[in-house]
Amino acid sequence: MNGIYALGQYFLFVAEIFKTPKHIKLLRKITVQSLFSIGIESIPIVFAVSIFMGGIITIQTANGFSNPLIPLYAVGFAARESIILEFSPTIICLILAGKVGSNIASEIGTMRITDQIDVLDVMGVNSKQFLLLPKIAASLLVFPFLVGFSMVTALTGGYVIGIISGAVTGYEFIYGAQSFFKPWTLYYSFTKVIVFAFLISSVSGYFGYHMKGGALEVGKSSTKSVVYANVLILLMDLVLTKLFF
Amino acid sequence: MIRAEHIFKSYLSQSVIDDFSYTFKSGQLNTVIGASGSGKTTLLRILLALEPPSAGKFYYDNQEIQDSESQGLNNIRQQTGVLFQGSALFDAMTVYQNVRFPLDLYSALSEQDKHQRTLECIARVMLDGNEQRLPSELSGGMKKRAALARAIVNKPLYLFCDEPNSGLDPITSAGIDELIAGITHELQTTTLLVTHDMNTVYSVADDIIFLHKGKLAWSGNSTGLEQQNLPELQKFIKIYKR
Repeated sequence: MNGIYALGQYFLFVAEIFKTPKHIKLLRKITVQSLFSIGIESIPIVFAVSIFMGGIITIQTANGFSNPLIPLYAVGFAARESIILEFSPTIICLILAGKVGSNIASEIGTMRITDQIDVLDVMGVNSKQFLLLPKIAASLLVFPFLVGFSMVTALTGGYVIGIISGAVTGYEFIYGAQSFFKPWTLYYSFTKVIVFAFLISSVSGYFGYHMKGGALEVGKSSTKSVVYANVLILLMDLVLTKLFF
Repeated sequence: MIRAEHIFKSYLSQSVIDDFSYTFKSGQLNTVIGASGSGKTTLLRILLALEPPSAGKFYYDNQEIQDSESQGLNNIRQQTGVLFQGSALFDAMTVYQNVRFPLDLYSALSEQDKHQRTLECIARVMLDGNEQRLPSELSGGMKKRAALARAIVNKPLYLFCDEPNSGLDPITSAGIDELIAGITHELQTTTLLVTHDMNTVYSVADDIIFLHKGKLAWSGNSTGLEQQNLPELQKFIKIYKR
């Protein structure tokens, strides 16, 4: 029963965010600031995770393809498919749920317990929209770039680490990575990213906005937002995969 | 003027505000006093339409407000300033940006006039020179003054202050009190000040409302406060008079 109530409250929360905005100029300014805090500040973690995961995927795939009947360029092909279809859109978004989502929830939660949200309400500002619309817009704009960056970095990591470790030659990796490429896989991946970006920003905003209590609860709501966002990402991943394949 | 009529508020079965009716006059510092848990802050939040009352009505001048969805509330909110206990400055904004924020939302002033008005208000609360500092770089008293500057930048008709002196030393407290009183009389605002600091009450209050267990137990001015013989209020004064 509580779950149904929370779901209803979440949809009302989202509806309130997407009401016709009154202070467009101000919202645009905050969106640009959010692009920086959500996008630029996430680049180092996306880079680090992608480069290593690209290498790991390549080494493990090469190890699994020890059968001499399987051409070695299949390693490049399999690495590309894994990275584009699942690693970059899903795993990177799970990581971003931890970084960006917890940041949004704790920032808004802190504003709640220090009466900053009440001040916005008293000023006649739609506080839900004012706080969340820029973050949702920034996430929708910047997540596809982060995931695209992750794809390139992970493939580069796979190529470099594959050569260094002797798992594959450079020529075979590139040949494999270019083989049997279907552009619609990118369409599928980026559709997932858009859905996940919306879920991460809105779910964490919901938990931050509705938190009650003190500093301890800010931490709890931040953790809760990451857990729920992760579960929803995986659930939507399953739904979208079923729809696309 | 703000008029409350038969306001009730309860959480689950616990009554917090019990049949509160009063008219807060404009151009006066209306001070709501009472012990912790007497319902002062709840009353303030109800009158700010941040929480709906369980029953009752309240009016801003002649505009009836029942909850946050009431018609005309948005116009009233544009004429309302608020100073919360913890000052509630926006952490990511400088003092200047915090104070200017309400002007950017609603004011039809030119950019130059907005800038002037912002600097005027910062100077009014004696924070000139601190425009570019973040709230985290300010002392408790400076934060309160910055929040007060933000509350008055739009020349509000209604000013709400929740425990503005909590956590401040007596000298800083007196400074904040004088600022609030001065602004109230200068702008002719209807000011509601919630406090349990008796120094504030004796030095600046025009009208005093004593809440006891959610009920309006006594009201009057500081002269009347000395003469009343309500045991709860006498006990309260004895405890909180420094």
